[in-house]
Amino acid sequence: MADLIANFTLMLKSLFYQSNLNTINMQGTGFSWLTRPMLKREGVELTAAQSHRLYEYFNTNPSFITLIVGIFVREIKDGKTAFTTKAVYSSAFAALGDSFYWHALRPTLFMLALFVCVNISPLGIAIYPLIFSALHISLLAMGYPLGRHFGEHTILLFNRVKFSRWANIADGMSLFLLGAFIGKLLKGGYSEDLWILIAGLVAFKMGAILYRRINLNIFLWLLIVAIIAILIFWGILS
Amino acid sequence: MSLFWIPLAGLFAMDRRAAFNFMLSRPFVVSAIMGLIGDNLIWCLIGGIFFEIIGLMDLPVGTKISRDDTFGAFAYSLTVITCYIHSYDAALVALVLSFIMMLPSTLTVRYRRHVNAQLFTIFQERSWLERHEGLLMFIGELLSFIRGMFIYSIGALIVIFLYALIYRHVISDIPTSALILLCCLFGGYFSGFFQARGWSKMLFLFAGGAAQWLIS
Repeated sequence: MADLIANFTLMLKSLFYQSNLNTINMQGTGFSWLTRPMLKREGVELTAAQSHRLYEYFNTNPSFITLIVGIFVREIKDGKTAFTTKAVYSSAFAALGDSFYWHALRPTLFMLALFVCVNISPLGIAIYPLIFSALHISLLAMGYPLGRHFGEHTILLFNRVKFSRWANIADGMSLFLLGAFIGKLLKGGYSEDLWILIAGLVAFKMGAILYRRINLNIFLWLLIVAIIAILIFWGILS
Repeated sequence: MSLFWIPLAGLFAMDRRAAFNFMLSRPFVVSAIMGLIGDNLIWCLIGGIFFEIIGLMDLPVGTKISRDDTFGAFAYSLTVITCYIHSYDAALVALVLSFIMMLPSTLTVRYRRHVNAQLFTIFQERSWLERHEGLLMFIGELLSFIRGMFIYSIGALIVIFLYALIYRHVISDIPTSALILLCCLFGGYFSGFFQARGWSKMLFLFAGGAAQWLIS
């Protein structure tokens, strides 16, 4: 029961651990804030140097924070190179989390919410925060026991479930749903005139080509200029 | 502008990076919540989708500060609600203004990190870190909430003010076809963001388009 309460407290605290995000140690203060009570609970006494090192630079994906705290506690309890492991794991999980949570899951949930919103009900928008939060909180809740149990071998667990490939599946879903959204737009345009369908497909392809040629910043400014031009052009015409 | 929106802006700003991470701060969700409360869901969502896609492509990887798309959606939605926007040209004016105001808002995110760094240094120099870690974290949350309340509200007010100045000069009846083409261009650019390449990408896109064409 005490373990459950400690784990639950850690999970709740982990929702706020980025509040001192700064230019010196990024999430280092938050990491120390989460780790210190867990180490105390395990009866680990840190030396002054170790205590100071808890504030070192630390940056990872927020969904994996409790997992890294668990790994760190296990490593330091076993007298291993906990600080090196922490640095390695924070980078590894940052990459894994960024590629799955930021790069793949967010677009997929957005496209899914948009699909449901357009085709079924506006309440479909809730899919986006609900599914993301469910996955985020589940990983935060399970993270500490998993990291504490597997220690430096935790990454094998993620390899076993082929976590790095989940992003590819999510990407496929996003593309399918993006195609559906563009299809909906084009069908609306096609009902007015056939040329809109052809011009729309050409514009889509042009957008895909532009992605490889210019960065997002330039593209967005070009788009804003295009919108202003359209507003002025049709303003004069009408 | 109702005062109700001010604490809501603070909550959105907190969810963005300082706390929760529940995706309540995503532009699509922000515009949906505000659209439902302000009774103008569809027109709020148009901007929400635009800012959402911008935000999705602008990943917060490493130390990078991504554009404050939450502010963009907040300012746009508040303009839509306050000015009763119900036409494409009006929505586009609000969208452009919100996009431009997003830049100073993003700068304040950078500034907040510097303030946090200053606070960290002060706590470290006075040996308060270990004893008062919780206080430092609380101040961080408070700063984030206050930044959201002030910056988002003031930024949105500026957008509304500029909109009121500009809109009557750009009244135009934009054809739907021009907007569809712009959306297709934007969608094409967004499709480049995904990892699938070549035929598999085309296959997924075509299958989605065909399925939607058949069911709608």
